[in-house]
Amino acid sequence: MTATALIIDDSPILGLQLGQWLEGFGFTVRSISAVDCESACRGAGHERVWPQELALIFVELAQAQGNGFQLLRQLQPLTRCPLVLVSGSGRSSDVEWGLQAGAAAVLSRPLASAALAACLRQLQLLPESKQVTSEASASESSASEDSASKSSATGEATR
Amino acid sequence: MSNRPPRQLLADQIVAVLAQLVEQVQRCFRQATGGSDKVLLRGCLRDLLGLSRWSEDKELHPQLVLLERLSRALFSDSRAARERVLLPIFCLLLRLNDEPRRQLAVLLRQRLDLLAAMPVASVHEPWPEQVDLLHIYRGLRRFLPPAGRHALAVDVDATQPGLEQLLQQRLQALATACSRSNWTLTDFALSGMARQCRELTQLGCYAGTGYRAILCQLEAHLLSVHARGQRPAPALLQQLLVYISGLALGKVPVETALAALTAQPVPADSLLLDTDTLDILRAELGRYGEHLHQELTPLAQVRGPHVSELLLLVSGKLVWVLHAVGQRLLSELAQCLNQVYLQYWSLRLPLPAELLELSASFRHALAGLQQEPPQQEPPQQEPPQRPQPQWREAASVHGLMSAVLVHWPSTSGQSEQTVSLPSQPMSIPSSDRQRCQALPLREVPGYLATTCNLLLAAEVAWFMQPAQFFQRAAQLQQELRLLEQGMAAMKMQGMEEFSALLLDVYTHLRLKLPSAAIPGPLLWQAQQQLILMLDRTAAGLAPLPGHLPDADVSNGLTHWLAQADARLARAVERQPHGPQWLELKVAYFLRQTSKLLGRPLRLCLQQGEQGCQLRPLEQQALVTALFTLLRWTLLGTEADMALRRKAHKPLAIALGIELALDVAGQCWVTLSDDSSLALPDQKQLARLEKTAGALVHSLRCSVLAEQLRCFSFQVELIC
Repeated sequence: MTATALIIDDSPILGLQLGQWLEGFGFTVRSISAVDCESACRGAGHERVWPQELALIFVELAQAQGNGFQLLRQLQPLTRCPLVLVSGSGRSSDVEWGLQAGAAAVLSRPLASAALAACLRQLQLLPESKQVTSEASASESSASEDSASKSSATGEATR
Repeated sequence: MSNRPPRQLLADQIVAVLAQLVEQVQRCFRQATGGSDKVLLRGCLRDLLGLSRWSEDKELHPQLVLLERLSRALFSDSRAARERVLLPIFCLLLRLNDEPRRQLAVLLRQRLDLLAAMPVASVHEPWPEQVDLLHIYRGLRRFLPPAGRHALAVDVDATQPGLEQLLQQRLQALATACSRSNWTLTDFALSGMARQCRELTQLGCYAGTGYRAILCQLEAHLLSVHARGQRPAPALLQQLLVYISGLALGKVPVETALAALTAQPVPADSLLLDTDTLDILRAELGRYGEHLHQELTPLAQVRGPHVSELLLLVSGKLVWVLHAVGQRLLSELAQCLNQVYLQYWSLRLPLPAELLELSASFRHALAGLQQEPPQQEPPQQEPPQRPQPQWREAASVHGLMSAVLVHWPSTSGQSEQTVSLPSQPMSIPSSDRQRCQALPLREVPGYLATTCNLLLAAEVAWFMQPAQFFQRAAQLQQELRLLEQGMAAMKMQGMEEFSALLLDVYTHLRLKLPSAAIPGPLLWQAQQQLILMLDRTAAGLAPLPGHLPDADVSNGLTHWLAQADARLARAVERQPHGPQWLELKVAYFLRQTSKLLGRPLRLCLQQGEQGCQLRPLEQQALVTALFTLLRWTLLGTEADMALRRKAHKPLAIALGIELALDVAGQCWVTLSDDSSLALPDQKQLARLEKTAGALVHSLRCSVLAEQLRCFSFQVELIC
């Protein structure tokens, strides 16, 4: 059975950006379009009925109501799977606050498949040999080496 | 299922409970159905449902459908109606205790199949008089994924070996979800299960088995259960689990489960159709045909409305009813239509005219069936201008099915969440009252790349030579504003903030303060950063890494802005009431307010074609009024932040000030903003007018068609 990644965002943006890559990495992608933190949390709580499927949860920092930090704090007691915060600003404060709020990793926009792969490897959700399989990744082979180093400099962090 | 009781004990229990049930029914007839009897009867039904879970032979499952119908009838207010429904059932139940169980079970099965031609979901509650069917599927739509790539797991492949095992795994997951729900599924969990069914349905397509049909029905069950209330009936869920678990464990033949789950009747030639049953089913057909007509009419009259949930439900029911009356060909056609409707509903697309015509023909055929027995002559209500389809000829119906399937919608036309962006940057008037177009979010990067032409073609000389810079500054600024909106829509706050920073610099530069030199090298660096961002973001949703704004450039721009603010403050002090004083004064006020709010403010000041020459006192009065209104406007912006973000608007607030002289020589001022559409009440308006100063009259506030809030007032000129 494939691992399932849950994406929580109040708009389809994060799903659009991450979905294809995650599927390329072999994940089944599921999205919760939450209107606020509470409903997102409730939805994610219900997702626990399939705990064996949920491999990780991506949380968008910028939500129209509330924010990703609150969501992380609310989600943490509900699930054991790693939580990944996605920030649009790339500020170092986002990374620090995200980690304090319970994120296992923080990704910054613009997202890159190599940065995502590195994050998944660090969370031990992707074998070292697994390569990006999506079409989009084909065009970025030249920059993939840069990306790994750059991604860590631009805000990605893991526990 | 580990605690399953022995088979004989189970059978005995079922018979015992049925006996109690019969007794309750008799009492109901004798005593006009008292409240306590209802409770007891419901208890019997619940026990039966619980026992059926352990039943190995699935022959008793259709009884549950009948029993639910019985339950509904007993709760009816009309005794006549109750007796009409109950009598045949009652007789059967009586016979069940007198005859050998096996034989009666077969008889009961046949009878139940006919009576349960309506699906379980519909007999559970009165329909449609007391249930708003529009609630069905409502709220679930957002949870159901489109039939795009996200809807299906990546490991689905028609040629993949072991697909059956994968199906079993998925079914097992679904069964686990059912059992862990503790029979009190919440909305989300229930809709999640429905979504799993849909995914499994697609998986079933690849497998080429009967899974697809059974899962479609299961999804319909789940959605209906969801629609009926916050607490779905535990009994129904338990019943569902029987089938799901059976499928998951591979112990239930697909055909058996399908027949049981959908109340699918046995083949028509083995049915004992009596007159009453035929009448009931024909009446049902007529009712469904009428509903079909009601739902199709608005779709045909007004292009644009999408498929309603009721249409889905009615077309789904027709599949079963047509099958029950032996109209197998029409049933297949109904199934075909139902699936196509489902696709259009899922993608939120309007039905094409040709499909509406086919649907209308189908409805006429239904009307004909209701009037004439199936074995007699063909339907008579077909419009004279169209030839009468031969509904009982396989070739004709299959041709119609092909015609229906031709209109299977393409997922490429799927509607998405959109964002409004200016259709052309240069079409933006100097204020933010721009013409906008709705763009799907995924198209925003490409749109930005093709629209921001000047930004992409920028050359170093433009930033090094003031003449060249000011020649293009206006358009560059407008393209930057478009970029800012696009980045906000894509939740790329880093780029949005960088665009905002650059816009602030451009705004300062366009004030043309004598002491402000153009920071050419810095602007060129920033421009290169922007081009890099735009290029890579436009590469689709797979941007390359490493295009966050360079920190040195951002810091350089911020430092320059701080110096520029100081220069602006000095300029305002040096030219009291000079020709540029009003513009500088407002710009300075907004810079300070922007820093205080932590949000960018975009101002567009228009002073009329001939200019609005104001005396110092009039300028002072105008500034006082403007600042009063701006303070009121900007202090309320935080409350609207959530709505603003939800609408994919940028952080920056767009403000517009327009001065105009009317024919009588009076000065009219308009202040617009896009921060909110909330209007001040009469008291607030009166207070604002009073605070705005003695020279201000006729203060009004309204909402413009461009979704801008607008204050307008008159400044009294001193003759």
